[in-house]
Amino acid sequence: MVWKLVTYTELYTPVPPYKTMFAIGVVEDEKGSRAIVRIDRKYFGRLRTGMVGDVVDEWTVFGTVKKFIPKEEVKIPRVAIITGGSGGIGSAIAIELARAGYSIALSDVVYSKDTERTLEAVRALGVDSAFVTIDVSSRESVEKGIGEVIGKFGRVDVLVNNAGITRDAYIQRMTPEDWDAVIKVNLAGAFYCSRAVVPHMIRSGGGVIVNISSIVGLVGNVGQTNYAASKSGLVGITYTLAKELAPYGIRVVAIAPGFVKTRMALAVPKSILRDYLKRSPIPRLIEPEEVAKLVRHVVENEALNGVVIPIDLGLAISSPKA
Amino acid sequence: MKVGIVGAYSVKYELRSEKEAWELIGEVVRGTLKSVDKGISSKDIDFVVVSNFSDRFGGILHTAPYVVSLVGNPSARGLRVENACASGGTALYVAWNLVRTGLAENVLVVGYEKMSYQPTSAEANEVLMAAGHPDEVVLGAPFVSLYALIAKSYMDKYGATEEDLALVAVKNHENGLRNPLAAMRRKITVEDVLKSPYISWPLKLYDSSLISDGAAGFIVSREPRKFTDTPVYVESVSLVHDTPGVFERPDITELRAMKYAAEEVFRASGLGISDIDVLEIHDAFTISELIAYEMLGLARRGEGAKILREGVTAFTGEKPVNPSGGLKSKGHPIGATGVGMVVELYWQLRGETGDRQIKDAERGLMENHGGTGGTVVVAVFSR
Repeated sequence: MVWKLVTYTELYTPVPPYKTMFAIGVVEDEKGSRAIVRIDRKYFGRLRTGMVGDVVDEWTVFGTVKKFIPKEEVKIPRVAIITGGSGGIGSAIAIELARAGYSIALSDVVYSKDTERTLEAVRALGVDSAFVTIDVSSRESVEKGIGEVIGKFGRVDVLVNNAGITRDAYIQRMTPEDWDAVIKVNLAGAFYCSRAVVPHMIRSGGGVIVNISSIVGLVGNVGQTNYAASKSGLVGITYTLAKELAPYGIRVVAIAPGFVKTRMALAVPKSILRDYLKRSPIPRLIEPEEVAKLVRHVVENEALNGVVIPIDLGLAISSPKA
Repeated sequence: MKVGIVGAYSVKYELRSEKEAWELIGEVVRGTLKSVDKGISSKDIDFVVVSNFSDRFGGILHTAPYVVSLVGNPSARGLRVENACASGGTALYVAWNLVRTGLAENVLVVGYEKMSYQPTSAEANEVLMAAGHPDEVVLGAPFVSLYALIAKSYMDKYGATEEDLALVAVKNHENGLRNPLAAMRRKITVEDVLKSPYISWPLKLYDSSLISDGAAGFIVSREPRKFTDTPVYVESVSLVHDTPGVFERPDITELRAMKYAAEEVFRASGLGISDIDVLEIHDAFTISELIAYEMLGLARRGEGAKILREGVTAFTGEKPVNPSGGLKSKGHPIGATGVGMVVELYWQLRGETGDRQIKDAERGLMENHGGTGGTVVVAVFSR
């Protein structure tokens, strides 16, 4: 039986009981029988009157729903933005998501040799890529940068809020400038970027926001009041946006790595780092690629939402706490 | 014998009223009884009809005995009617038939809805959704989507644009500025409408009527002159059904029941659209007002937007539509909506609407529909 789409609408306002976005259509078969059907939100912006497809029954707890599946295969190149993507964890995430087939919008505050290397690795995987200069601590810069990404790729499916800095000091020595700088990049940056991508994600039927928090945000760390606060803040953002955006098909998850082998971790004085690792059940540093694999899993596993996933070699369960 | 309306009252519609549903009902019962020029006693009211869509919009049911007790005539009978957004029109239909058939002398009609009883508009929409076809309900299709299906079809068939739809909202908001009882008295521009977010493409936030709280009432009498020297006569009322599901209709762009109801009312009253001076139309979404122009005979098929652009339906036009501001600006408290339309026309035909008075209005038409036109009530009134 061939069904033809007679009219359709894209519902952007999630209504209970389903609390999610989908398209709704009226379809007609050769004999003129009609049905009202649901169409997956991945077809947002791609439906046309007269499109043909199949109608299948789908069981839901609220009743059996008729679903229209257009025959026309829709190939949608998915797009990921990674902030602070030039080096370290960001670079590994960009490469891993490229491996998963995502077009990569790599963003950082400056274009560096690291950026060049990451982009080369991404291109070698055969996906489309672009660099966008974004200073996440500036709303204007974020909005301009996200605008450029939309201009080039037309959509955003994944945002990885990875950009982060440290300005470590004991509290008596931590200046208000140290505090502000870290909060602005690590916390306000994630807010600005999330805020800027959400309308685009809604228009294209959903997405995933991954916040790179830190184990320090969960258990604290001496000398990192600003950093710990910013990373705890990301947990709050994650829980809140996971509730707020779920109806729009946007999942929000945080990842809380322990010490990862990056320039940031290696900048910690060796004696402190050694002492830290001694407390870990697996006393080594985490590879950026290991974090990147978890990000890819979070992006691909549609059941993950509103959780903070530690990737810390068991550091957080060790005692005494770091 | 000509049945007439002898009193009417409405609270100011609000997006979120501080009053409970029963307080709104109480105010309307007192206000309506008091509005009768020559006075009306409790014992004169021998029947009450209450219009209300859902107890999830107010938290009460079984309201007829409550209204009877407020009236103060224990011998009065009553009932509650529900036909989705056409509950108010249905209440008029029932009251008119009770009186003209001699089953009642004077019927008090009260319509109310306290939609803010639901915490969010999403939850209010879930309650409303129950008024669709069972397939639409199970699918999870809110009314904005069902009207969006109609709008998309209409745009495909007649080449109407989102701007055409926006003009309905702009007109009705401009009218609402003159109505102190309107819930949202705010002037809006075409650009405002076009910039408002899509709720269910191609319909936007500003294409949608207001989820609101409100109540209104009127009295239908067998001997109107006994109570006032200037009654408003009910010429005819028609209630027609269509298949509840949008998808079941051969022409999705047509609201068939509205066309049939209008034809029936005109046939019964011996009047035509050319005799009508003022109209209150059910603009639940902008698209419904455009299609209503065509179903009621104001415009040819596909030319709804044309007459709107020509100003025919503007406040100063030849056939002013929704001088009250309509559901778009005045508000759409479901059970009160149709009742409020009757109240507006009662005041218009008596020349009591102040700034929004349509000059020399002698005959008025109301069109109140439920669902996506599964129930339509059309009525014609004269002074």
